Amino acid sequence: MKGRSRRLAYKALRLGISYLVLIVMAIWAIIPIYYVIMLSFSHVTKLLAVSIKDLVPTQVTLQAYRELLFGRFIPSIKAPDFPLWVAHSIVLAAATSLLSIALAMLAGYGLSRLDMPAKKTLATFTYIITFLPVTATTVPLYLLFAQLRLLNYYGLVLAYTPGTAVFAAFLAKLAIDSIPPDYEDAAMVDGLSRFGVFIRIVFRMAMPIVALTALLGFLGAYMDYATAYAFIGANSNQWTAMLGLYYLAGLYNYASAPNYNIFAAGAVLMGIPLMALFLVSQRMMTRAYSSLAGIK
Amino acid sequence: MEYIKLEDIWKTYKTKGVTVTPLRGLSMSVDKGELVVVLGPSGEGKTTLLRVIAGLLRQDKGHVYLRGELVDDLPPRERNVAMVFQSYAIYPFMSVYDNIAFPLKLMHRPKQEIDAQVKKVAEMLRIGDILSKKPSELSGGQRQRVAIAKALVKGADVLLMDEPMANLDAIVRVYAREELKQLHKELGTTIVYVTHDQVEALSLATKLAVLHDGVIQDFGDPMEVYRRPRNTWVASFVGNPPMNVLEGTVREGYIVSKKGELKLPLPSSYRGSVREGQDVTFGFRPEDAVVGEGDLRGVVSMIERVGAYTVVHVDVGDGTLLRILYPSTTQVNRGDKVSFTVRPGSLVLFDPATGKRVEAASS
Repeated sequence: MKGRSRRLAYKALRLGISYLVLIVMAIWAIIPIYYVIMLSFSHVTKLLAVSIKDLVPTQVTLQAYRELLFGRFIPSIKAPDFPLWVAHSIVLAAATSLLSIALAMLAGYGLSRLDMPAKKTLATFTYIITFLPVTATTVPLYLLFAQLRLLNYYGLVLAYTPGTAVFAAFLAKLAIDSIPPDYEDAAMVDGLSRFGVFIRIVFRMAMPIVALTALLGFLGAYMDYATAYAFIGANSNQWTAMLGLYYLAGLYNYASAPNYNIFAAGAVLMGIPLMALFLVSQRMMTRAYSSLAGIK
Repeated sequence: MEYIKLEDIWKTYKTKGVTVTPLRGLSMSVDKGELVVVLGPSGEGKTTLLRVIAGLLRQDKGHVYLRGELVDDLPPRERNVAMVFQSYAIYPFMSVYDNIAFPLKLMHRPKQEIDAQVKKVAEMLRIGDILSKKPSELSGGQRQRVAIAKALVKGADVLLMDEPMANLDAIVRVYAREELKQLHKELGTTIVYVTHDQVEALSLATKLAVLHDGVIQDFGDPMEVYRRPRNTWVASFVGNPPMNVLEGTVREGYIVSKKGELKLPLPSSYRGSVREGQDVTFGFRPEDAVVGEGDLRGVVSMIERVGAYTVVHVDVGDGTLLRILYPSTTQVNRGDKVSFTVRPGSLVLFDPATGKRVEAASS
């Protein structure tokens, strides 16, 4: 009897500690997001001092959202500016995403299946390259693309793609390694060409990694500031949401006073397409992480 | 008519820096409607052989003919062959129905035709009730049927099977074997079936091909290969337990073993083909030894109980062991002295230099 109650007490203690740790972690994760959302509904332009009292909003206003959704700031743009910039960002990010998938899958297939010299070295090299921060390549990329007269959208897509595709190629190699080659052989006997097998079987079976690549590519381009600033910073008609948001929040020009409520509202608005993308690909994403966990 | 013909096929490839040559001048021809079982030890190129026929691998040298036509330069999809893989290779992301329909969809057949065809094949293989399931929900036996259905649906008249029963349990395997035989009889498809399983090979084949060292060692009626193997390697490989193969010399109408004390009368059919004093290799099947009579003697050194029968290893001197079959009801113990004889006419002679079977002068 005594032993049983001791066991119960021990179990309660164990659960208590687990929950405590989890709750603290959850607070750390949720507070910043809550803070940004709250800020976006306020008319205060300054960053609030973080104290418990300030976490409960006293006044709710949609002023920042109204300004972002309907405001016209640049005279040469004939529509509300910020939605246009978001559209630019989405198109740019989607293009980067598609190009990354194509490149990563082709490279990954080659690294995994084809018999070529120095394959292992190449795979390792690909992996090591991913350690370098993409931002560090902005200046050389700018110089190179200026020479090629590609300081525009096309250039941006081309510049963003390797940032995702190199890492994704390595992931794709791992994913394709884990697909038994029998499936491909069977598909060839069934009546597909080698390329047909690649499109209809390999893509389908590596779908979690394809989805992950799409997401990484989209995120990379969507969230970029440095490269976009270097490439199209001078032309406000072509801006991406990130550039536009920095401008509208007054962070573009250090002399002006920042509007943090605008910045927060912009962050929330920009998050909506990302949320949608995550929700759509959630199932695939879970599988991508679990399938990668199974690979050494 | 030669439906599948392989002519001097060579294939070498590198795996992890090691160069292997599984096929070394292999030639084989298969008549229309035969079920040829290619039997060979693991890792000796049986699968490579199938892949060369299917066109998944390009041979380094030699030619492949299908239906009398040279197909060396045709990709797999233009060879009109179907293949069942050891792993079954049923796409996990498609339902059973879609898996079976896949080859037909690739041929852009009309929907109703595809539907009718899939249902027909499914009925034939008794998988009509699982068509809507996903492969992960199937048992091993069901998966195998789906794989066969997928291979049959195209209507290809050449069917290649790569150990399709290796992953089935023993009882299911017996039925699957019988069904495959039945199916073959009904459809008349030309089948090349690869396995390392002796029983499977002997029970399924209408023609047995034994693959070793990259060439076909023996080809023919399975029981003929079993009774009269073409060389000593085939003798010591085919059958479980395999043949007893010993070195000996012809002396005064007898064959006397070089090691051990074995003296067997030379069968009259061989009288004309060997000389007095000639060295020969001779062999007999374990089931051709008759225990309890005759003047050959030995000591039991090992007993393998298989169930239906017992394989007894008998030492006939100098550590020379013979495998002899006992009925499973016979009591036998290690160290027992036994006498036995070998059925006359069951002896097979080989040339010790080449290992080839010596043809009997008269039979």
